[in-house]
Amino acid sequence: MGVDKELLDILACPKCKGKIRLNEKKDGLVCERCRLVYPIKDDIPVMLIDEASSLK
Amino acid sequence: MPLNWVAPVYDWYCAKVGLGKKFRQRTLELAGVREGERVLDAGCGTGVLTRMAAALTGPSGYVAGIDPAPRMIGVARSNASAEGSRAEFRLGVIEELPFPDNSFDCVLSSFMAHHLPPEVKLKGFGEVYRVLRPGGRFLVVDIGRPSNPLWWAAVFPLLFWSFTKDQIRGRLNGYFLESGFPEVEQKGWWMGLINFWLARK
Repeated sequence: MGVDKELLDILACPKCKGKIRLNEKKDGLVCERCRLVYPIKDDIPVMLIDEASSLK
Repeated sequence: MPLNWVAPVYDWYCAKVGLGKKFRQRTLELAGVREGERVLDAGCGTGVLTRMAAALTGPSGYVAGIDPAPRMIGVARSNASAEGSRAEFRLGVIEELPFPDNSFDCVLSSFMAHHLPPEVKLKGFGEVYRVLRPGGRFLVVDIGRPSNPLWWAAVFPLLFWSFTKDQIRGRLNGYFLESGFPEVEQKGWWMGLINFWLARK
């Protein structure tokens, strides 16, 4: 998995600019504040609000 | 407007029109990218400039490239791993940057501005201002107002396109000032058709 801790430190939610975390399956980045999950496709974080799914 | 369709031939095309390695080196020189810096390449395409920036900043630096086109990022990423480059890539747009405030020393944006409508350009420049640290640099490369009249024959249709008309009329400087940058310097290239803009936060 290409998304490591260092990368998460510098990534932020594109909507609220707040902190994000890796989900348990390690296939998405979660913004708790916006209740959004940004998918990771082929090891590339997809940091587009339109492509995010809502957090269940 | 993600440029997916052009991804397979983009590097070949850029070299053909005179935007090869030398031009990219000039871009990095003007931006003043040095070892240990944190650099963002907004609209990185296939990541040629991103990887060159990563080579300059070295292991103590951090370089990220974003682009909205999955195929561009796909090419960027596979080229980076083939070269052993430290550059990181992700899908993202300039008008909603996925980075915290004050996180970069330098933001580069090469031939991206003309893909954006005026309101997105303005929002994007504001986002760049936000992610730059105080004193950080924003270098934009794009078409501007040609200083040589011969170019006008080629560029006049761009005056009728909302994405480019402000650039051709020489009004891009205003976008920097409106986004919070206190000043901006402009340097012409290729008789003024291609321009470099350098702003500091």
